[in-house]
Parts: sequence; structure tokens; C-alpha cells
Amino acid sequence: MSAILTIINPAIASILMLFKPKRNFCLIVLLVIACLNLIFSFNLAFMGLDKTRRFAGGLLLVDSISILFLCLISIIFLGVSLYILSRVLSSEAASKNIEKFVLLSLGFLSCLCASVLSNHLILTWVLLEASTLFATPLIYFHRRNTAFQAAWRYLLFSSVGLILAFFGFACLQKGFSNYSDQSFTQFFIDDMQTAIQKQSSNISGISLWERAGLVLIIFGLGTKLGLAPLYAWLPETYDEAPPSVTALLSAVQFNCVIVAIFRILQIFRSTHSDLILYELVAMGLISMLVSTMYIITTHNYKKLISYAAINHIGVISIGLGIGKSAMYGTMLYIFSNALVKAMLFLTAGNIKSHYRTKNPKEAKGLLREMPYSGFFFMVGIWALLGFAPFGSFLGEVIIMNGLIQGRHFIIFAAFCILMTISFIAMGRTVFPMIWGEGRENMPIAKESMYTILPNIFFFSLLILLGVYLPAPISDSLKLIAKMLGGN
Amino acid sequence: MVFFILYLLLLLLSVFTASWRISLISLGLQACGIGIYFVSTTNLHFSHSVMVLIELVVIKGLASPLFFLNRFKRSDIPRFIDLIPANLVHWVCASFLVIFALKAATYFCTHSDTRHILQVGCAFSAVALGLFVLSSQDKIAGQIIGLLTIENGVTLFSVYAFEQNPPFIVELGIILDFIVLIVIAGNFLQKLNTHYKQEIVAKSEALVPEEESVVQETIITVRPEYGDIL
Repeated sequence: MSAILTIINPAIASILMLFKPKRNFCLIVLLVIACLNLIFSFNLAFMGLDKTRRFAGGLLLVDSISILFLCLISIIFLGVSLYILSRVLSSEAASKNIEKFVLLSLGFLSCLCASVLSNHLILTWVLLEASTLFATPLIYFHRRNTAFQAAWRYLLFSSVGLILAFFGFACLQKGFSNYSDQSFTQFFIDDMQTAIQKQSSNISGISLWERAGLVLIIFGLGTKLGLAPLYAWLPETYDEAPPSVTALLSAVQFNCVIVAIFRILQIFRSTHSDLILYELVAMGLISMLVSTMYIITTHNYKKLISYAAINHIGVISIGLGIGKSAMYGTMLYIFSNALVKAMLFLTAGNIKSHYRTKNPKEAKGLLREMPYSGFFFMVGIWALLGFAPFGSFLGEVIIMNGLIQGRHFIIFAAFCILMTISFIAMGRTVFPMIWGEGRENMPIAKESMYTILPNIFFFSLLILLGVYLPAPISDSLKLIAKMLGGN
Repeated sequence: MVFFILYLLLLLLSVFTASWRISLISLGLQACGIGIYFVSTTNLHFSHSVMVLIELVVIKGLASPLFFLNRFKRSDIPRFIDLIPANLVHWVCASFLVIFALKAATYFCTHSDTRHILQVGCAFSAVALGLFVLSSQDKIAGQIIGLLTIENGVTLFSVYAFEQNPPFIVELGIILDFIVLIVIAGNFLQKLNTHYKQEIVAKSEALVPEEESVVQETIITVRPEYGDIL
């Protein structure tokens, strides 16, 4: 019941926005739905992280993957909602068309919650497409000239990526036509996984159609994530979108696409542990290389964080490709990454509205002029760069250990070199922002408690992921890693 | 087999002609053809046949092209746009893509009959040409046609590949997604073209006389505003 409510509540609330209610009502609804979603997600978690339940005619599935990611996106959505509240309360202009913004955000959330819970691959695809359609008007919400172009590029690249992923599903369906078990062709994830495990002794290898299908699916979904080569939409979109929307795209939608990839790996990796290893590693390394080059040259701190996000997608892709002992580290990295990106993009929004510039050379002395935002920006950058004691540090170490254990020394060397270069390049740009000499005689910026609260919460979770992970969550992450072919 | 040869000809017509009207009409005919072919050659349940006809013939075959014909006209898109740049190199590349796609189909469909090989080959060609169009277009009008070309190719392939229908709600979701996508794309077409028309006129008036023939309908980036933001 809780699972279905995480889908239905935001959907009904977004329909309410069609009646153009007043600003305060919109904000109350947004916060209430965000809180309710969090409560329902945690309720599911307390009922048992390792339980698997099917419902809604088999179309929806509650298991470790869906529960953990539902909790993650609910936490981030609540943080973003508080940020939106603070912006609307502090500025009359920000409340213009707020009911439309809330309608689209809640529709977006509903689609993504459903995609995480989906047990049908094509239904997951439909919901990801729907979330893209909800997100597009959010990107150009303030109707800036450049935002229109960014939104169109986002829609175009996402649509092409998802069409290619659908092409991949069709290829998979063709490949499965050789098997007698009907479970293969119905695309229910748990049935497919069971059927493949049963047939594993009869299956000598993956057919050409299946391999082509998997490559297309990974390529298509990788486009949605911002993996090279089709990453060009990401920096522009993240830069032009409002900060709250960027946080939703980078930390919420991103993770829902990751769940879709997890479902593919879950089906196939139990019997073919090296499946699409080279494809994922190649895309990961190219993403890291491309992002490192852009990190060196960019003069826009919001785009800098976007390129760092591409870098991290590359790390995740390598971790997923290598699998085995790196899988647990990849899981930790994904969760930490989501919190870091949410924190950084929301803080970047505060910085931009105070300094009125995206140039890092003009936005200096953060710790002095904006102590709270400066602190969280500093912490976010440390976590982004892979410093201890954050979860991303631990995740990276485990992935690197996995590379060595798998004797992928060349990949390990490339990984370390690219991480070092991007570390230096980012530090060179961002550290003067944090500790540099600020503008003379500038008063300390007033920062609303509503913008600080979500960052405090994200920061606490980041530390928790790195220092002490409660046993149920750690066991759940290990279980997910095992489901995806890890050990 | 005749159907697929006609499909291939329509595909080449839509991509190689410099007229968006012909491109959109041939895209519509492609979708209608796929729908009618699918319904007539497979034993479908009545409700599923209706669903397929609504999706392929009504929405993708008629509504979508008519919608874009109207939008293109209202957005004053120039009558002639080269989806594939009009030079020998691009035409040769496009032709090779079609040949490779047909070759790939024979490689993938080793134990299938000629009809299926041709069907898969047409689908691969459509996807390849659609991606080629997207890579060579910086204008939204051409990008929309490229996207619809890929869409038709994937639809043709899925008609061949899918043996079982997805649940009704999933099929409905696919149709709704497509409808909303084309509405939003049409919206962008209007916004992106009309918004910058005044900028383009102002810029073209500032040009020296010998450069007036070089006026391009490109998107002009203006200085972003730093208003209050959400």
C-alpha cells in the first residue's frame, strides 16, 4: 500500500494544481507530499529491506533496489522542496506560476517513483520518457533565452536515447524468441531473472540479437545519464535549468535511470558476470576523459559541477562494468554522489543569486560572505573530489580495489591519472572561490533556514555513508550488489 | 516484399528531398503503411488491431504529420531545408549507411526469409538515416524530422520483433508519451523560431550589403538574465 501511495499521492496533488490554487496552498501541498513520500518510503524500508513483493498485477515490484532508491529520491525531493519554499518566501518574482512548477515537479516525482517500483522493462521505459516530458518545461521555466535551447537539447537527446533503448528491447525480444519459456518475452523483470537462471545450463551464450539489444539499451540509457559519447546535453541543461530542477535531474532522475540499468544487469549478470563489461568500461573511461578536459577549461562553476557529474558517471559506469568486488563500492558511490550533487547544485543556486555571476573568479570569499553556503559548498567539493570521510571516498577505494583484483591494471592506471587531473583542475578553480579574498565591505548574506536545513541533512547522510553505515542498510547494499553479479 | 521496397523509397524520399512538406507526408505514409501491413499480416485480437491502427495510422500516420505541417507553416520555416547537406560527401555517406544497414540485416537474420531481412534492413536504414540527419542538423525543424524518422524505423522493427503484446496500460503509456512528445516539440518549434526572428532581422539589417546573402536562421544566444530563480 505504501508503495502505491508514493505514486498516487504526487499524481493526485499535481492534478489539484490544475485548479490554479494560491501560492501558499501550492507550497503546503508540495511539502506535505514530499514528507508523505518520505514516510511511506521509510515505512517500506522498516517492513523489511530484503523482502520481495509483487503487486498491481505484477507490474510493480518492491525489493531492496526499489526500497533503497525510493528512500533516496524521497530524501532528495524533500530537500529540494524546502529549497523551493525558501526561494518563494524570499522573492515575490519566484512565486510567479508556482502552481505550474509544483504541478510539473509532482508529476515528475510520481513518474519516477513508479519507474523505480516498476517490474516491467517497457513500463520503466514509458515512465522514464514521461518524466523527461515533465522535466522539459521545468528547465525553461523562467523563460530565459538560453534555457529554451537547453531544454530542447535535453528533450532531443533524451528522446533519441530512449528510442534507442526501446530498439534494444525489441532486439532482446527477438533474441528471446528462441527460448520456449514465455517469461522471456513478457518483460517482467523477476520472471525473466528466474527464467534465465533456470535456462542457464541450456544457454551456451548470448545470441547476437541479445547482445545487440543490451548494447543499445546501455547506449540509450547511458545517453539519459550523460555518458559519453552523447553527453553534450548535460552541462548546458544543468547550467540553464533552475537550481532546484538541476538537483532533481542530477540526483533524482539520474538514479531512476541507474535503477533501469540495474534491472538489466539483475536479469543477465546472474548467469553472465562479464556481460557488457567492455562497453560500460569504455564508455566510462571516455566520459572521464572528456569531462576532465572540460573541467580544465571551463569558467563557470555550475558547469564545472556538471562536468564533475559526468566524471562521476564515468566512475559508476566503470564500477558497474567491472562488477564483482567493485559492485558494493559502486553502490556506495551512487548514493553518495546523489547527495553531493543535490547539495552542490542547491548551494550553487544560492551563490549565483547572491553574487549574480557564474564566473568563479568573481564569486570569491564564500566562507566569509556566505558562511553557511560556503561551508556546504566546501564540503560538497571535498566529497566530489573523493576526500575522506565521505561515502564517495570509500566507494572509489572499493572500485579501485576491484580493478586491481580483476587485474585491470591499464584501466586502473587511466582511472587514477584522470581522477588526479580532474582533482587538480577542480581544486584550482574552486578553492579560490571558497577561501579567496572576497569583495570589500560586503555584508554577510542572509541565508534562510529552509535552504540550510536540507544541506545539513544531506551532509549528515554523507558522513554516515562514509563513517558508519547501519547494518540493515549495509546488508541491503551487499544484497543489491550480489543481485547485480557482485560478490 | 513490395511494401518494404515502397517503404525504403518513401524513407529515401523523406530524407533526400529538400522539402519538409514531402518529408512529413512520406513519414506519415510510412507509419500508415506499417500499421496496415501489421494488421493485415498477423492474426491479432480485434482490440489489439484497433489499438495498433489508432497508434500507427491515426496518431503517427495522420495526426503527427498534420500537426507538424501546421506548426511548420505557422513558424515560417523556409520551404526548402536540406535534411542531408546537398553535397556529394554527405549523399555518399547516407547511401553507404543504407547499404550497411541492409547488409547488417542479412547478418542478423541468418535463418529468416527475404521478406523479414528486407523488413529489418528497412528498419535499420531508417534508424541510421535518422541519426545521420540529427547529426547534420542544427535547426529544430530538421531535428524533428530526424527524430520522427528514427521513431518510424524502431516501430517497423518492433512490429517484426515483438511476439507478445505488452500490457494494455503499457501500450497506452507509449501512445500518450508520443502524443505529449510531439506537442512539446511543436511548442519548441514555435518558441525557438518566433522568439529569435526579431533578433535575426535586426542582425541582418546591420550587415554590409555583400553579406546580406549569408543571413542564417541560427539561434542567437543573448546575455542570460540573473533574475530571481527557483
